[in-house]
Formats: sequence, structure tokens, C-alpha cells
Amino acid sequence: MTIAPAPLRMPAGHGLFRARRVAAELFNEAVVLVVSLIAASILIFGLLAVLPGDQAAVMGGMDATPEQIEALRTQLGLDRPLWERYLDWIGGVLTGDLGTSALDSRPVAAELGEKLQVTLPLGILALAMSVFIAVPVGVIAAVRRETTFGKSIAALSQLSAAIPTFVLGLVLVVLVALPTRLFPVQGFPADRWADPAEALRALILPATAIAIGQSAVLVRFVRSATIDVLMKEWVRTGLAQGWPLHAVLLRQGMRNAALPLLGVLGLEIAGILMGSVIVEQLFALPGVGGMILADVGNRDIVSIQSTLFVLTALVMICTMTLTALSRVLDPRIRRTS
Amino acid sequence: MISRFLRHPLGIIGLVLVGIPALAALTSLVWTPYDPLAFAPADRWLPPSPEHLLGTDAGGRDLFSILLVGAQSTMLATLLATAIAVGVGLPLAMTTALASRRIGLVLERGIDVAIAFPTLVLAIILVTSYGASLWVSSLAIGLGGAVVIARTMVPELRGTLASPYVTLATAGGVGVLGILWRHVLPNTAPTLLIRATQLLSVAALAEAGLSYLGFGTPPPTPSWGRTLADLQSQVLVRPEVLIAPSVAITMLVIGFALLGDALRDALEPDQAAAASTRARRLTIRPTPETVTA
Repeated sequence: MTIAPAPLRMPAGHGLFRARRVAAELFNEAVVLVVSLIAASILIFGLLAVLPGDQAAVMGGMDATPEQIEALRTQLGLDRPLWERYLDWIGGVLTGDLGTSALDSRPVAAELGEKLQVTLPLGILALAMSVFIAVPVGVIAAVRRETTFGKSIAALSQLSAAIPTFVLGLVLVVLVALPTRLFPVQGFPADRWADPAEALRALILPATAIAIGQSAVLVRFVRSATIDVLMKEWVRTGLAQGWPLHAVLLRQGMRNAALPLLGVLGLEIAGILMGSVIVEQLFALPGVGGMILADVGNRDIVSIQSTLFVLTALVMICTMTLTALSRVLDPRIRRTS
Repeated sequence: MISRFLRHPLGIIGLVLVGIPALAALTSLVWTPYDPLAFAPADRWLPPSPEHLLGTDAGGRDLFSILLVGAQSTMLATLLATAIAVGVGLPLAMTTALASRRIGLVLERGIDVAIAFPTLVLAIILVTSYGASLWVSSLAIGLGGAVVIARTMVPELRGTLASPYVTLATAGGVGVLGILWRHVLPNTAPTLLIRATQLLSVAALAEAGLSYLGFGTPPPTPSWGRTLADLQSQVLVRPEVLIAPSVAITMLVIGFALLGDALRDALEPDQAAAASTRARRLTIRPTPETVTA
């Protein structure tokens, strides 16, 4: 019943010992990641296979006879045992074959690759913008935390977390895109990245809409991390030596807060995916979001299954890599095994 | 405790912000100015007026009535998702806290992994199989929240389980369920209440997003997220119709978040006080003591 306190490991040391420990722990995290990806693939495949909504019934339509549906099932290979179908599918995914869409028999991989050209840059841009918004805002809110200005910045950033992404997007359209005409209200260049500047312009407002909401969590983190740093003796020492505050914060504070920040960023990735799907709808961007919504509408199970797995894998790889790096690389965190 | 909560100005604001949509949802059960589903093609896109407080939509339906009825599904989905999160997350946390060291570690790792699994993906799987509904979106949000609840509650539960009075009760022959019910639950209830209230705000936001994508209550039943999605095409023509549903959703999310903060301050006063004294203790401006020291 009683739980013994976990034994603390001794400090990691440095040089070769530290490198070896870091390598061992990263390897550990990689194993966990692979196991998690397998679990996620089983979950996605299993749920879609077991829950109602058979591909054959969908393709057969409303007035198909039971015999016709049965024939379709055999044709699609749905009568084979579940584990065989799973191995077939996951083997294909590993070799880059995501199956063919049941609707237009296009390879899913080709379509997904095309759509990711919009969604990936959008997500990366949103992530970068959320950091560029959150770090200065959080630091200013911490340094000026006793003034009304600092307090209102902190409150305002929390307020922005409560505004749904699509509302932010609409506000940006009405307040920025329409009056200034700097950014398109909707859409993405038909020739995609042929003109990178044009393509980027189409992504800026959508990415901002995602970033504002996501940055609220980061602001809270940066603010409390900076307050923590400000109370350290070495900041006082630095100030006493005549270093300006911003120099101490930049040279020492950033170094202290960067790794934990990486971990917090990792937890934002799933939110950014959700945000991307929403703003793709709002700004009519031809990304993965629109593709998956169309697939759900058509109940195109093959495409849904593969697309969901690729998205989940992307999110999990990013999230777990970032959180693992922030934990493993930080010499201050002594892991309790 | 309640008096401390009521003295908290943010708590009052939160209560008001949540109270208005709750009242709107309850009122709409018995009365709305117009039938929110009745089409009146002659009245399409009427501007706000004493008859139609917020104007009408493309079908001539009264937007104020739609907003009132929409509060029902938004509130219901939010509460349902949070109930699922607590109902699944708490037993999961208890199992993890009670399990042997090895199994507990595996469960903990599993919870960490499940947190990385996007709620949206779960929602899409469920919608593909069962079609869009309030239950499906709430279930997806609720399960996503359950792992978050579990992760925050596990250390809390472990701490209580390791306390001397639990050891004493175990020695006295009280069973596991008895200990959970009599000692652990009452001691961790405040934390759970705080987390659940904070989750309400997250769930309201997620519900708005999912129903905007069409994964929530199917038409014709109104919900705020979908109302906004329906009106979105008007952004170039009459953006003012978008204001009311946007404000409504934002109000509800902020309201729940403020309630959560106020509850935290009321229920964990030691922590709040500790945080503020720590903040006061060391300011970087040189004070007389630091200069002489």
C-alpha cells in the first residue's frame, strides 16, 4: 500500500558519461515512440474496422442486395481475418503505399503528399509564430509584472486563449485582410509553391489565427519561467556587475528556459493540427483538413484510415521528440528511473 | 470556502459569464421569441430590430432564437464531455496509483502516449462510424480530457495513499475501496474539482471547434459552432451577424476558465499565498537590504 519514494540517481556528470547517458535515454525514448506508433496504428485500424460502417455497405449504396454486398466484401478483401488485413495495411504504409481511395481509385499517398504541401508549412509557420509572439510577450509580462501594463498583458494573453480559432480567423479577415488588401481573404495559389512569396502570403493570416490561440499557453510558461530566472542569485550578481537586464535575460535566462520551452512546444502540436484543419476550412486552403472532411463525408474508409495514421504519426513523432529532447538534454533534470 | 470564492472578483465575473448562457439554454427550453427552425423566406437577412434582436439568417430564421437554442447543445456537450473525462479519468488514475510499481509505470507511460494522440483523430474515427452527433463529439473530447485528468490526478492520489492516516487505516483492516472512498476521495476532491472546471473551458472550446467542422449536433438543431460556420459566408457582406455567436462562445470559454482560476484560489489558498509571497520576496530592483548586503 505504501509507496516508497523513488530513488534519485546521482547527477549525470559531463563529458563522455553525459553523452552516453543521453544516448541511452534517447534510445529508450525512441523505443517508446515506436511502440506508441504501433499502438496508434492498431487503435485507428481496429476502431474503423470494428465500429459500424463497412466499406462494402457504403460502396454498395442503399439498394444493394445482401448478396451484392457480400460479393463486394470478397472483392475488397474484407472477408479476410482482421489481423491479416492489418498486416497488409501497415506493411503498405511502411513502404509508402497508403492504399487507393475507394471513391476515385486514386492512390491516397499521392493526394496526401499534395495536401501536406499546404498543411505542413501552415503548421510550421504557426508554431514559429506562436514562439515569436509568446517569448517577448511572456518576458515583458514577467519583467513588468508589478505594473498595470504587465498585468494587463498577462490577462490579455489568457483572454486570447479563450477565443476559438475560427473566430480569430474571421476577425483577422475583417480587420486585416479586407482593409489592407495585403493578404488574400481566401484560397491558395493554384500553382502552389511556384511563387513562394505568394503562397506564403496566403498562409500568414491562417497561421496567425492558430498561433495567437496557441501562444497563450506559451506566454504563461515563458512568464513564470522568466519570473523564476529573475529571482536567481546570479541575475542579481549580473545586475550588480552592471549588466543591463536584457543582456542578463538574453545570455543567461534564455539558456535556462529554452529546453523546457521545447517540451511545452511539443504539447502544442496536437492543438496546431486541430487549428490547421479549422483554418483550412475558414480560408479555403487545399490542405489535409479539407481532404479528411471530404473523406468523412464520402465515408472513404481506406483514405481516412491512412490519412489519420499519417497525421497521428506526425503529431506523435513531433510531440514525443520535443518532450524527450527537453527532458533528456536538460542536465538539471535528474531522471528517477 | 464559498465566501472566499464569492469574494474573488474574477469568480463572480466567471459565474456571470457562464450563468448567462446557462440561463439562455434553460429559457429556450420553454420559450424563444420565434421558432428557431421555421423558415420565412420573405424575412431573409433582416437587420437587427426590436422584432428580431439580432436580425435573421438566409432562411429568415430569427438569429436570437437560434443563439438561445444553440446554448442548449453547447452547454450539454461541454458538461457531458467533462463528465466523461472525470468518469473515465478518475478510475484510470486510481488504478495507476494503486498498481504495483512496474504496472503503474507502464500505465503512466501509456497515459503520456495517449495524451499525444490527437482528440481530433478520435473524433473523426467516431464520426466516420456513427455519423456526427453531440454524443460523438462529447465522447471524443471526454476521452481526450480523461487522460489529462488521469495524469494530473495520479501524483495527487499517490501522495494521499502514502500519507500516515492511510497507512493507519490499512493497518486497521480497511479495504481498498473503503480507503478510496473515505480517505482518498475527500482529500483529492478539491484538486479534482479545480481540474474539472478548467477542463470545462477546454471542452467548450473544443466543442465549438468540432461543431464548426460539422462533427457536433447535426442540422437542423442549432449549436454555436455550426451557426458560425453557416454564417461565415457573410463575412464580406454583413460581418456584423458573426459578432453575436463569436462573443457567445468566447464568453462561455472565458467564464469557465475564470471559474477554474477562482476555484483554485479558493480551494488551494496556501498555494496561492505561497506563490504571491515568493513573488514578493525577491524583486530585482535593489532594495536597501540587498544594497547593504
